[in-house]
Amino acid sequence: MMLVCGAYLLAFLLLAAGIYATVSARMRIDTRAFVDASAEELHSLYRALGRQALLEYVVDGSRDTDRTFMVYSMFDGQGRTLAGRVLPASVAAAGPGWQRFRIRGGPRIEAQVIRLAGGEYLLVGLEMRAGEWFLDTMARAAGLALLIAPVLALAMGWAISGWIGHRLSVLDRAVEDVSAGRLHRRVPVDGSGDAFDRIGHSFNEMLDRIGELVDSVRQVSDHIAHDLRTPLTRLRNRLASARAGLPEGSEAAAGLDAALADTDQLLQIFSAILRLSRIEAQAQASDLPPVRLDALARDAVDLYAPIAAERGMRIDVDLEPARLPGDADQLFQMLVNLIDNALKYGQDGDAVRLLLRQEGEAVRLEIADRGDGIPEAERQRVFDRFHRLDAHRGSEGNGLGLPLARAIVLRHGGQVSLHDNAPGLRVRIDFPVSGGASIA
Amino acid sequence: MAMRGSYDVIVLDRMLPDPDGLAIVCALREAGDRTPVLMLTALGDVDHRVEGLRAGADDYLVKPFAFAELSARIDGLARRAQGDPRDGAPVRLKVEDLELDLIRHQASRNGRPIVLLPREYALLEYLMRHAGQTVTRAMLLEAVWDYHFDPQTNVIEVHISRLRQKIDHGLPKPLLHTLRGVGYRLGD
Repeated sequence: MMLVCGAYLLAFLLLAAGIYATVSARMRIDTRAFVDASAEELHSLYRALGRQALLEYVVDGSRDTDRTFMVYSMFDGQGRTLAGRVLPASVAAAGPGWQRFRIRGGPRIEAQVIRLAGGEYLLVGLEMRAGEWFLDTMARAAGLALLIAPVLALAMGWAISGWIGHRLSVLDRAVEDVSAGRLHRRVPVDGSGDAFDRIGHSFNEMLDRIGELVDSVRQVSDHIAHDLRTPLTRLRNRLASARAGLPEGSEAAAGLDAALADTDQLLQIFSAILRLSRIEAQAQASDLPPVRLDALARDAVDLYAPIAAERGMRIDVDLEPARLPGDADQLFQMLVNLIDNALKYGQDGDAVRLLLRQEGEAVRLEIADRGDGIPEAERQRVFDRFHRLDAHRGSEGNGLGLPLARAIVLRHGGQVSLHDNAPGLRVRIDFPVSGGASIA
Repeated sequence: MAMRGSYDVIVLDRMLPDPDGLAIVCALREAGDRTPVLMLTALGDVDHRVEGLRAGADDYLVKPFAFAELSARIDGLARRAQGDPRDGAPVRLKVEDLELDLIRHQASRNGRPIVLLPREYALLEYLMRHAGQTVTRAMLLEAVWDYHFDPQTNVIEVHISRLRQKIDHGLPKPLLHTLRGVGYRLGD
């Protein structure tokens, strides 16, 4: 920015200096040609009519009010003025040739001194009044421009960088949204075809491609889950009927029980995957009738209170009435998953806190535990399917609870964010103002 | 076929080629046939479930399912259809020496009162209404909690064991049985 400004100023200075030099040189050439012609005329007058005629001409010329810009003077070898203007001593002493001087702070005079045949000197000069004024004005204008130019340059630079910044921030917001998991977000393009528009287009194409890849990965996992569910269920039924014929407490029965439990867990994972995909594929829930989120939360807490008690924990609730258009079963599932998580990873003996607020139509839900929390770097990844913190790899759970909860939140137009509860984890869910609630 | 014969329970696949399961149930109900219908389907969304129940199905089971789940649900429907005395409008449920007063919301065993939380009461009532039958966890979640969802951990187990503490603790004959991998049963 400063660099651009500096370069701009330097270019301006060079240009102004160049113009000044060219104009003043040109003016001097013209002036000298004019002075030269006048001096030659007077010299020929002297040669033709003699000394007296020239003296008269010089005296007349110096008095002529129409020719005040002309300077005529005759002086002798000692510098004494014989007729016309009285010159500074230095001019008279310099001898023949071109002279440039001022008389008592007057305008600059471009003059030629000629040595006459009689040993006297004739000076013919021209006051550069108009030229001086022109050059002065130009210099002043340049000076003024020099003051204004940086201000203008700064203002323009600021405006341009602001515009670029705005265009980039549009892109930046889209990138942020996408990395927060909203893969369907696209950069708005205006079709102007400028560089930013083209970047937006290529960015959107890239997102389309990524979306397709993600979808195909998802479809593969959905197909696996779907196609394996039926044979797995058959396997489970066979294990169950084999188990039914065995006496309680036998070694074979224990083995089959374990196999049954494993099969059940697999089936549960598959149904969670399919449920997740179904929810992700569903339309936004904003058109559904509103449900009482506080009632759902109370039911979920009621369902989990015995488990909390068993672990020596409790669930503190601070629930304000809150309505939200949505699917009661899904929102209940979301609450259950979050409470389950908080109880699982909260510290034994501590309380899990559930908070619900409604401001206008915006609803905020917070679930906080006092366990080990999640390191900042890991927070985004816990929403990935099957992602589990290394520390919890051995514990029960399938790594689908949070992704499922998030899919439900997104379907209801909300956002999940994870915060440090110092200690512990605070899951915050914000459902923004939605059109559906006000109509209902 | 459903129209001609007399059946205890009809198990009907929703995804039949023309007419589909929904149309069959509708036709049955319009003809005044009240035979209980258990609808099987691969469509597991709440909306689909509601559609099925609205059409007149009595229960709805999403494929694939464990055989025990199907059998438990068929038992439930069959009993209801046979006009089980427990399903009329009884004021008192009784399983051996366990009694539940539906008017005063009081439970007692062997004459000794049992203090129950509201949810424990609902759970016990459901189990007593289905006494002697296998009741799966999914059935309990639907009937007692009224939400269709996937419990992450076995929350039902904890509720059952609390209830068991209250009704069976210290007594020689336990009434509430866990059927491993299937569900629960109250009484024999």
